[in-house]
Amino acid sequence: MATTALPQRGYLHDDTPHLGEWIRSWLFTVDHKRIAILYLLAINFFFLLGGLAATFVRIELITPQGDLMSSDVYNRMFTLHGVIMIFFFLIPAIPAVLGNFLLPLMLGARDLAFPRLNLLSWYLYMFGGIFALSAAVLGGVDTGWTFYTPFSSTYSNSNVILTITGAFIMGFSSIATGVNFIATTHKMRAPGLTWFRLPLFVWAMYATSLVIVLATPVVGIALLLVAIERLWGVGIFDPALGGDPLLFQHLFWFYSHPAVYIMILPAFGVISELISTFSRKRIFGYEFIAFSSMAIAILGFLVWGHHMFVSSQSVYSSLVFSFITMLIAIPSAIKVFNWTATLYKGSISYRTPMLYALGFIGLFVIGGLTGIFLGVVAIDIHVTDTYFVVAHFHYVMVGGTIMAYLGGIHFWWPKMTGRMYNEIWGGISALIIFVGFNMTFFPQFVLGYLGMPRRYHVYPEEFQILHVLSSAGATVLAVGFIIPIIYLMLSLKTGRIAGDNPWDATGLEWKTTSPPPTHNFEAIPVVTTEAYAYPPEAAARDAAEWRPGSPL
Amino acid sequence: MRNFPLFPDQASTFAGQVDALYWALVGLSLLFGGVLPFVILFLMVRYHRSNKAVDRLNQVHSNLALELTWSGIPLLLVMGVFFWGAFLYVHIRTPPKQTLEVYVIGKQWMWHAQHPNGKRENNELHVPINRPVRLIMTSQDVIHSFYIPAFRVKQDVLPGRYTSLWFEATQPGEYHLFCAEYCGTEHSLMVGRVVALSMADYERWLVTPGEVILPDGSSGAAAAPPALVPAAGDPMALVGEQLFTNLGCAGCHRMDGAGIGPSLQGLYGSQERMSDGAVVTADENYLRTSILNPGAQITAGYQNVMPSYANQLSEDQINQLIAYIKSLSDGGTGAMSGGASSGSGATTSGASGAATGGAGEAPAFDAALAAQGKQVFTNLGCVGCHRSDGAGIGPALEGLYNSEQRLADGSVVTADEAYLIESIRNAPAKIAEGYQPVMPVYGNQLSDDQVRQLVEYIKSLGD
Amino acid sequence: MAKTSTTAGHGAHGDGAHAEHAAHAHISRGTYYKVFAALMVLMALTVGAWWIEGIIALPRLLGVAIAMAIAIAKTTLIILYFMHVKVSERATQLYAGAAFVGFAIMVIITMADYFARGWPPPPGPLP
Repeated sequence: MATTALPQRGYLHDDTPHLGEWIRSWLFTVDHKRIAILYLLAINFFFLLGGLAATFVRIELITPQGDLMSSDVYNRMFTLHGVIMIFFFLIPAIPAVLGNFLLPLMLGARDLAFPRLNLLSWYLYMFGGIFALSAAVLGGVDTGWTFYTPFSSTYSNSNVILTITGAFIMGFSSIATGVNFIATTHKMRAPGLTWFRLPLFVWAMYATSLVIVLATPVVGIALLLVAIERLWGVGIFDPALGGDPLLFQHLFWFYSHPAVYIMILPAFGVISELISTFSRKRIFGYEFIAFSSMAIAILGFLVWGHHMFVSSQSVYSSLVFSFITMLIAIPSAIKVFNWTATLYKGSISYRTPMLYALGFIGLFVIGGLTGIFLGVVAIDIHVTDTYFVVAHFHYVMVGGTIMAYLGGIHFWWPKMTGRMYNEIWGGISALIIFVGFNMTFFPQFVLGYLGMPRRYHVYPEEFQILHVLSSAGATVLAVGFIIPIIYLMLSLKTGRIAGDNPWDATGLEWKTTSPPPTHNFEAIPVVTTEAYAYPPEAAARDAAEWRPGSPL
Repeated sequence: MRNFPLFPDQASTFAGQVDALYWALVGLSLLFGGVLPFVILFLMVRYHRSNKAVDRLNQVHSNLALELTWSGIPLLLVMGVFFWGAFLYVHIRTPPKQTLEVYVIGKQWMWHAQHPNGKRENNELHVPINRPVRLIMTSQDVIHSFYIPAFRVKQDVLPGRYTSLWFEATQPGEYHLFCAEYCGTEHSLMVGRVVALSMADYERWLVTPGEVILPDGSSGAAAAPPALVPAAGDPMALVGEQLFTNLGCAGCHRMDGAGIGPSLQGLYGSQERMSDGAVVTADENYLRTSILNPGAQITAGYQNVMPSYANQLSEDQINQLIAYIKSLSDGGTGAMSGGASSGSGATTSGASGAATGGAGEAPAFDAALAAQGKQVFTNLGCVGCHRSDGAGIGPALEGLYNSEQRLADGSVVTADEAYLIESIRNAPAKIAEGYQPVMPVYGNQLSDDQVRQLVEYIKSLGD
Repeated sequence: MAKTSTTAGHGAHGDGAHAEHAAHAHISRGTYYKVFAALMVLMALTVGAWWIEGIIALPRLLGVAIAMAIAIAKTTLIILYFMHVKVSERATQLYAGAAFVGFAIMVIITMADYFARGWPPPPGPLP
């Protein structure tokens, strides 16, 4: 597969001799691939910012006293971490970077259905990000990313409205992306590409987009109402003005629970691609995985009350929400079992994307199982609002989504840039991340069951050892996240030229050059085979051809 | 290396049950989450591309039976876990009939608790063991959450309404109390301790006058608003009664039912018909709404003329008024005019001890002495245990005099004056059936006069 | 969902999605005018309902039900005709309907929470 040079007319290449033209060609691009790169840069900036906030939080938590920062600063720090990471990193990450780049390629299309809307969605993201950043610079916001009323609508003395505006605008960015993906998937598939021949990544993006367009408007309105109450004293959520605090929680979580599925469904899609490619065989149970994505998307709208079990929600509602929460565990379990079954009789290689995929499965299983703990109300009463919940959602969001995001970035890096990254450093950082992550968050399960509440920076002394363990792990994790940035950037200059299909994978994106030309394909491909159409002897042949010294 | 805990104490009846479910789930998780990674590792190694010896032909890409199996079995397991958890949850949320009630107010950034006999505490909660305790909680500002890890209970505390949580402590000791819902700057400092005491110790604590601290942190008589509340340590129902009078409520809400507003006799807990036809239960939230926003729910047959008391009363005072109104629903155990909602023969609600006309069976007693006896009864804290609704640590004294009392040893005695005097001076001698021998001995602490007054007062409570 | 869509003729820049307009029918100008007239009538009904409520004492539930019914009628007309959902593809109609299903879920379960506050009835009647 080795080729000697990058293709002449890749999308990254341009005929713009002047700097001004070059900037304009990027800032006014309607090419989905360039927009994906713009998102990649922006998202990584926000990730580092959110990570910095987390670093301060974990350093403060090394000691039981509040000695590094005042209560106010700490409160703003964890709020910043939450708002940035959720709204400006996790929700857009895989859809806006990998989805934008890959969806048209995987469908055999030349671009998304609405290219200018795509550019608008990036600008809305940046615009919203500017609001959030200015809120942070002007002193931060201390309500927690959940903005519970009446604290956020009446009592908080921080930049609530600025932050809310940022999240509100970002919501529209998300909706625009979702609309684009739905239209593209319905309307722009290549000839012969029926629904059940689609790669599972496309199914995942479709299910995600469904959730985005139906759920995001609700949080927009909920936050808008908080702003209205804050500005003009209209009694909606504050009982002193005649409102009901629980109403905000219902409206907020109606979005924020589907939001976590917005974060994890694309990750599931990436993992399906990685497992299949690095086992060199067709995925096991294709229909089941596809339908389970849709099931999760739909059921995800019916479980939001499991965030409110102790909030004085009625016993009846809590039981209903708990029951449906139990049900939603099943489609996720189906996926995990199908991925495991895919490994059987495959020819497995330990390349970096596969390491991330396997790490994902391990960490997601733990995160998902602890979700069942939380879904059982009797236990949730004890552990909600403690570090148990913090550990659970970091397992699924970091151990899940971020691992899948990194795996996807590494897997499609050659397609996006035309170059390979350094495999040794890739493997090393995957391992560092896995170890560091477990060190950071497993002790938090123990802390949570002991009773350590969330959002505390002063805590009883007997919890200190577990916190020190957790903070030590966080240091390792931070190192693990920094290393890929370095070698990925270096690979742009010194990486091996990848060629069209360095992984020998199936999928239409690998049938064009790396990086692809602006118009994606010289000729629109016609699809005649099912997805993951590896020949039946592909795995056997791959093993037969392996020699000592070949990549592991 | 200091000792550090890895598992919380089990200090309530719930703790063992919750932990059992928890460990069951941990076991199931180890089963899936432990076995699955091993399967994956095994497959990863066995089918690594360098291993040429394994058979990779005849691949299978779908198997319906397998899919149904590994969907069905987890489904059954999660359903099993759900039902176990659901029953436990309903148990946790259903307090028993007889509970010791404590009123809790959460505010930024402290907890304030008041026991019905008036004793108050800040950032602490003293409770007896082996006795169900119910907390009735509200917030003065934002949402907080009352969390006792050792008891495995947590309940958000909301402004504008009451939420409740119950538990039965099993081990004496001190346990953490945390606020578990982010509430602002000093959220981390809104912590305290729960002190579980044996019943005798708890009683002793209850009747010991401590420093009186009001919900805003200030102490004792100097706190506002002093004009309405002469002694802040007094039992809540008593203070509530004084508020009821001083604020003029008694002017409209006459207990004989002839006032502009409905009689509050027997109101608490009853089903009330509203003017729009709805039937509501008159619980704490209903009483609260009626005081702060009376126009929202008007009782059928009455006009919408009650003024709102929003912004005129602190949470504390609202709690006291509610405690007083609750005390007007005696539940019928020997209440003077039994079931009083008919309006005839108004039950005395603490004004004077004179028997009113109509209750012809009332024993003769000295009204003046009874009034003094009532003061003693209150000041010594007897009212803290001997609640008239029968839910106290000690038996209700309404209708006690001259009734037949079954004792713990099975014998039956008549509760005459001698019995009353002996019960006061040397309680352990005769314990009523169904009660614990925890009443303190008042021996020589009381003068004969005081004992006389107490006896007259108890007689005034009817037979 | 296994049907293939009509082959999209892709232009050089992916603006080809606009070529799909041939698929759905048109709403005539006469229909637009009729719908507008209907909306004006409904607006008059709204004002009339408000005026009548000021005169006779209606039970509150009935007043709200009438106002909601009129509003729903207006919304339906606008969505079906002015937003072209009536002449759109089945998929588009499905998505439009899905939004209301989502809204219904949110409202029904939230209201169920409020109404269910008294259950299970504890012996002390605090909900």
